Order: sequence, then C-alpha cells, then structure tokens
Amino acid sequence: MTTDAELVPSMLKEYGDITRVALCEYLQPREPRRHLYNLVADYPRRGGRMLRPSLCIASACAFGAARQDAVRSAVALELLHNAFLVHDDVEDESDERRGQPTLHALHGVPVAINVGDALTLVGLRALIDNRKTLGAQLAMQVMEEAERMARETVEGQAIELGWRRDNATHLSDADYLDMVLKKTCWYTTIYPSRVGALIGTRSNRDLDRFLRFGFFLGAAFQIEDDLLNLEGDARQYGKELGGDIWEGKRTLMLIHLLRAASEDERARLATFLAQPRRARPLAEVQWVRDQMDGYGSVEHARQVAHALAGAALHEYEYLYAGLRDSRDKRFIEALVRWVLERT
Amino acid sequence: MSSKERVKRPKLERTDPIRVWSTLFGIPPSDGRTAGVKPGAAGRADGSASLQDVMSRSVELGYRVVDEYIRQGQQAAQRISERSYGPEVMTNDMQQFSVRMAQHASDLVGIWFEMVQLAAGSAFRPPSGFADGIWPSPAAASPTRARPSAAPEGADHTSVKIAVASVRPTEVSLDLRPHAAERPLVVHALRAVDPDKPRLSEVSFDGGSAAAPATLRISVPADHPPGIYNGLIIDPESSRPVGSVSVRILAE
Repeated sequence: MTTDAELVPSMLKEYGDITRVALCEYLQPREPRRHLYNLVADYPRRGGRMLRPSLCIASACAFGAARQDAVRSAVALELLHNAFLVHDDVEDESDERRGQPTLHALHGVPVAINVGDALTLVGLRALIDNRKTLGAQLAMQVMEEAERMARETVEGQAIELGWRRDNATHLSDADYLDMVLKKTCWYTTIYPSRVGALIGTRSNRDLDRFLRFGFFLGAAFQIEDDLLNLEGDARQYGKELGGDIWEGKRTLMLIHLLRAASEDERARLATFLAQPRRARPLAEVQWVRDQMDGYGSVEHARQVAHALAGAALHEYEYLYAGLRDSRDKRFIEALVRWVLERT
Repeated sequence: MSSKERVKRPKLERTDPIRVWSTLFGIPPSDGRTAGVKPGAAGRADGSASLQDVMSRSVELGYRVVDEYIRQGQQAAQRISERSYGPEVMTNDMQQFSVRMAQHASDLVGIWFEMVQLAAGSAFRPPSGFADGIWPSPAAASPTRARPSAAPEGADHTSVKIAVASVRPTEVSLDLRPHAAERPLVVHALRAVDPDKPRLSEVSFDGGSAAAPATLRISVPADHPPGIYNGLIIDPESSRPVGSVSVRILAE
C-alpha cells in the first residue's frame, strides 16, 4: 500500500500524465507557429508539478465522478495557469520560469503578452468542450466558476501590483492573506476543489465551504513557495532564488520585516523597495535577506504556514471525512502535509 | 546486576502520545535560524509560548479573512437577487418575513426558557413547538437569524445548544467537527479584525458528553461595539481545534 509520502508524488504523476495527454489536443501546432502556437506550447511543455489539475481530478473522483469527467476542467485550469504565468513574468520582470528563461526574456514583451492572451483563449476552448462530457448545464456552471476564478486572480494580482507601484510599506498579515486569497488560492486550490465537487456531486450546493479549505491550503502553499524562493533548492525550485526580494514582492517575510525593523532600517527598506528592480544593488538584496533572518521573519512565516495548513486539515475533515475511503480522498489529505514538506 | 534481579522497563517520561496542535507537523526547524534574533523578532529563543501564540493567531486571522470574504460575497449575492422585484418576489418575501418573524418569536421564547432554566438550576424544559436552543451542528444559529447548515451529504451531525444573551440583533455561526460536542470544549475570548475593538470575553462551553451535548453560552454586553468576533473551539484533551465560532453583533 502506498504511504502518504509516496501517495502525493505518485498521484501528481498519474493525474499530471492524464492532463498532459489531454492538453496535447489543445496545443496542436498550427499557423502562425513561430510567433504564436509554438510559444503557446512552451510553458505547458516545461513541466511543472500539475498540482492544480491533480487536485481538480482527485476532488471530482472523491465525490464519485469518473476521471474523464474532470479532465477538460483540469486542462483548462492548467492552460489558464500558464497564461497567468506568462503575464506574471512580464509584470514581475522575472528572469526564469521552470529552470529556463522566461518567455518575454526569450521573445520580447509584446510577443509574450500575446501568447498569454492566446493561452487564455485555448483554456476557454477546453471549458466549452466540457459540454461533450458534462452536458450544457454543468459545463456552464464550471464556466461560471472559471470566470470567477480568473476575476479573483486578476483582482489579487492588481492588489499586489498596486502595493509595489505605491511602494506600500505598512501592510499587515491580514492584508497579505486577503491578497493571497484572491491571487493564489482561487486558482491553485479553491477552484480545483470546488469544480471537482461540482462535477462529482452535480450540484453547486455548499461550495462556499470549499473557500475555507482552499484558502487555508492555498495560503500555506503560497507562503511555503515564498520560503522556497529564499532558501529552496535552486534546481528543483525552477526560479531564481531570492527573486522575490529582487522583485520587491510583498511576501509575509517582507511584511513582517517591515513591521519588526527599526525606524532607520525601515527607511532603508523603503528606499530599496522604491528602486526599479534592475537598479537594486546585490548588497542591498543580501542585507534584506539577512534582516529577514535576524528579525525571525522567515521563522514567523514558516509558523504561519504550519498553522494555516493545520486549519486546512480541520476544514478537510468537514468536507471529505464523510466520504468513502479512496486514494483520491487520501491524496487530498496528504496534499496538506506535502505543501509544507516539498523542496 | 544480580541474576535474580528482575529486569524492569525504565519509567517512561510519558504514557500518552503528544497531541499538541502546534507540533502537528513537527516542531518547525530552529537550526540556528532563530539564534541571535533581534529585539522585536518573531518568537522567543525557546520558541514555546510564542510559537503557540503565532499559530493560534494565524489560524484566527485566517478564519477572519476568509469569513469576511464569504460574508461580503453573500451580501453581494443578496444585492443582486434583490434587483428584480415583481409581485411574485414580493409575495415570496412576505412569506419569508412571516416565517422569520415566527422564528424570532420562537427563538426569543427559547432563550427566555433557557435563562429561566439557568436561574432556577432545574431541568425546566420549554414546551414543545418552541425552539429550545438546540440546533444541529455544523450550523449557524442566532436569536434573530439562522443560516442553513452547510454540511455536505454524508457528513455526520452532532448537536449543540446555543444560549445567547444580547439586547441587540446577534448572529452566531458555529462550526464543529462531527461528535466534537460530546466532550468538554474550551473557547477563548472572541476577537475582532480591528485590534482596537474589545474582545468578547463572556463566551464559554458547559457540559459536553455523549448523553448531554455541550452548551455554548454567549453574553454580549450592551455597549459592545458592533462587528464580527471570531474564535477557535479547542478540545482541551488534545489541544487541537475542533471548530470555530463567529459572532456578528449588528448595529441597532
């Protein structure tokens, strides 16, 4: 029998493979290839853990659906996720994605933005095709969920971009969680678990409850992701280590540091954050990193992530404990621990 | 050691598993990262009480954020649904209003009986037909409004009694794990998102056994500021949260 530690990687691979096969249908080469469709397939083909589609399929199966019923929704999610990534990389001026140069670094910002738009439309196609397996009514409900997910995500992104643009330095943990709820949780964990339940139960009753589970799991995931950006394994992480500090990203660690630092240090931080990314000196990036250790900001964020993961387990009990035992159900539970243990 | 001497097991430091909420995932590593932390840094050097506090506050904060988000969503949905007002909608609303008024009267009588029961210390029971303060949980209950249960199909239910003393309209949302109310529970003072608002401290659980489910008692002082106050419900035996309670005090 598969242990919890093995279950998550094995099911991520299993459901990831199913999603990749279905994804190929939507990434067929066609014209114009050079500046569009070859590039549309770039990020999806770079790999990735396939967390979101796997959670979507597992949630549907845990509630009694056949895998095939959830695959197109999982494909759409993966395509929309990649569309967000392309645009995020432009907005964040990121250099690396999944261990390779970002799309805009390779092909320029205008082409990258257009590729991101195309990925969104391809994702929309997958949602429309849901009619074939789910019927028109359920497909429309999934579509509405996807529209809300996309809207919440761009609203969250707007909040974060606004913080950077206005050089916000007086943020609280609650502000951070508000932003993460929209920017990360909706498309990483809330939408997959809600749509899975929607497909599995053929009913949109009680979907609000999935907001709590998805929020706690997604927020723990995001904080842990930000921690990995500071101290993860560079090869496995796939993005530049310390990139969030270079970008001035308002992570929980930075927000804690801004709160805990002395007045002089806070002024130095504000000056650093006010500079454009390319103008930020390496020595100052290193200084910020050292302060995060010195003030226990990294430790604080880790503790918050652990606490939120605990709350996710609590909400899991409510949502899934009454369902019959299955690999999918155990996978969703094990995912909470995996979020904290991944490297 | 003499050959006649019986070999004895050394006395164990503990005989029960450690069921502490904060170490659910193991103690977060403190491999020197917290050594030499600056004043104002998160956590004390030993990481004990402060760790508990950070974890407890984080969960509470998380629930406040997501519950406020859900509340705003519900309000938005309500506004949208109120946009069209044809005769049919008006009739339905009037019916709902009548039902709600009957529910209010029933709830208030139930609370009054509850208070009498408390004062008399007897097993005095309200007559049938009136709400006696027992709602299935997870559910929301209040003297003025009740939210339908959000439990998905297949989830077990448990019962809990809720007694609210408030001069103002007050909503209570209670989430509990199945069967959690069958043992003694602890709830700390409820906090608002705004740190300047005073905590709602007169909140407690009584009883709690398989035979007699727990009673959640909430007393809202007359001058307590309106707002949403949240708190975790803890199983003292395991130190793990088994639910949450949210109290919304409305303005007059």
